[in-house]
Amino acid sequence: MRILVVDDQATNRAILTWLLEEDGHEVEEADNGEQAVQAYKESQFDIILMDVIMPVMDGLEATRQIKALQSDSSGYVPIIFLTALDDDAALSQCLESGGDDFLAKPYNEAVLKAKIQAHLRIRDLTQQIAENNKELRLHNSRWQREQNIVEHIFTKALEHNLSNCDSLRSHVAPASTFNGDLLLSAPSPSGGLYVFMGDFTGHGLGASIGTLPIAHTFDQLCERHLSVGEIAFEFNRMLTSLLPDFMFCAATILELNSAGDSIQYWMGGLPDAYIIAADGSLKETLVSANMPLGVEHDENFSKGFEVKYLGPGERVFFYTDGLDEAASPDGEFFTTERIVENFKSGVKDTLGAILESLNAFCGDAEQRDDITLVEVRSGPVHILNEQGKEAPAYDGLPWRMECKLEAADIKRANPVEEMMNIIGAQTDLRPYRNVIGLLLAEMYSNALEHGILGLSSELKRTEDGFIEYYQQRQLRLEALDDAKIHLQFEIVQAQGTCLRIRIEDSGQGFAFDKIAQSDNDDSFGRGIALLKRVCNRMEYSDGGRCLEVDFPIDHATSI
Amino acid sequence: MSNVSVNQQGQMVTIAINGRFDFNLLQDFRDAYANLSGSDLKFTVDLSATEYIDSSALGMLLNMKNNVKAEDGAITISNCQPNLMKIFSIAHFDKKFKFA
Repeated sequence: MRILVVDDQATNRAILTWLLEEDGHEVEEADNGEQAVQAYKESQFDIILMDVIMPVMDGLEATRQIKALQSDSSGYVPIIFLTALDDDAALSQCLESGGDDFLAKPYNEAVLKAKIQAHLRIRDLTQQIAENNKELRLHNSRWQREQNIVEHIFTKALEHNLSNCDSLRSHVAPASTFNGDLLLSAPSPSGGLYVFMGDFTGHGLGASIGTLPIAHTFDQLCERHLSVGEIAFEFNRMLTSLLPDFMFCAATILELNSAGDSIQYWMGGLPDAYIIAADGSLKETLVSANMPLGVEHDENFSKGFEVKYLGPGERVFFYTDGLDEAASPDGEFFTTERIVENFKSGVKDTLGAILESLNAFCGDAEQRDDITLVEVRSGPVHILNEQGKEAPAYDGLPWRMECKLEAADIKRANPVEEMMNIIGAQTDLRPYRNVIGLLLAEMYSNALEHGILGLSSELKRTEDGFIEYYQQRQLRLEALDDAKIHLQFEIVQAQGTCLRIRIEDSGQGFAFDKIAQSDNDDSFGRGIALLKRVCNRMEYSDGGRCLEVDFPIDHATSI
Repeated sequence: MSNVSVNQQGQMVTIAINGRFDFNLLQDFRDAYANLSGSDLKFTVDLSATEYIDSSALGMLLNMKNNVKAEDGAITISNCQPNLMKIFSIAHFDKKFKFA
């Protein structure tokens, strides 16, 4: 060890140097305080032995200056006073100046050596602590930096939320920076609303990681207009392969149709959901029927989902178990009972009422798990864009397409499908592809079967007749040699943007006013009823030989 | 190619429709439920591989319901794609059949 010996008496210095060198230390000497400070600045020492009374600068002042120079980087150097003074006041002055210890002169050699050893040990420990602290600070700042990055990614990833849809209200309260609960919403291609609420095992960053792939895929699945059961299936497959065995995600997935009068839902492992009547009372309890996501293998996974109808003013309320398991300062749980208490006639703002009772119950108790509450309201879905306006309607070019089919074309396997390949490729029509396909198929088969082939729906009254009808269709179609079906498609502005479809046939016409009248349980007459439900306008002319319909392709008014 | 397959296990009968569910399947679909033995049969129509339905398919399903004298909701339609689901709900079929 390097030791600095400070004393104005050469003899004292010589004795100390001799003693210390004998023990294998390296010693440097200073005559007075000033030299000591200088030596300290120029070189590194492990310990300083300091006389008190010296010319030029005394030991107290030198100690003050040296201690002032010490910083974290230079490390801790203990200073032991060697002094002939023995009154308490003098000794306490030594300590006040920053000295670490003192030894009265004349000193005992064994005691001196013991003190030096002890202080060197303290110095080692101090250095060790300083290094550990430095490392800790380094880790901490690295963690802080990484946390910032991850936080940024999460913020971006979870931006997939509609903040601007009246149908959806929510309260999301993570227990820490990173949320293991996940709430997503997206418009459905038919103008409705998808909502996903998930709760990953645990909370914090670990639980939060699983939310990323879900959030990333959700929009795509919604755009494909998958059923809630299929979305669950896709997520389950992803999470099963991604998450460690002990982690999974309890979830509720819901689709509200654009009219807002029915929901399809899939629930796996989350607490019961509730349908709240317009007056605020409980109408129905929806129970989870599935395992959470990330547990079952594909072959055991059920894509099944449930359908419920919502009346005006009704709401669906669901939440993650952070709510019923929220604890009061005494450690008591909030419980489902306290949630259900808020479902009573007269409570208009159910979500608000539950939050209020939750806050009153929990007081200042620490929140232990992430909490998410969601309310989906019935009524037409309006999703506003950033500027707070309705989503823009049709912004494509106006266009028109015509198709004139002769007998040979009509005999082809599936002329409607071929037409749909063209129509369905139009970007703005793509979301309605299936309904337009159905619409066109119905219009076409009416024109062909009733108009050109002269078949009567009456035949379809019995099951045998139903079969005969289609046998006749086959025979007459094969025998057909002269017929025309003329189709026109056009984008028009009529009560919003519509696709106008006009179909004319060369047949005998038919009693179109009769055909629509059939019983709900009858196996015929369904086609026209379908058309009526999806079109704004439907008009026969020319004795049933011509039919024109307007199908709305405006998001806000679509089915 | 479209086709109809039937799988009977005791009282449970599953009829799966592959491809397009339209009038071309008329006879096949009828054969699938009309000639089964056993009483109190529980029917499920599995549409997981069905790409398309038209109103004649709706008619066929109602024929089936009448033929087997099933109560509303007694026949299950399973794995229905949302595009088809939309057609069923336009036709109010969700009141006549159980969807799962």
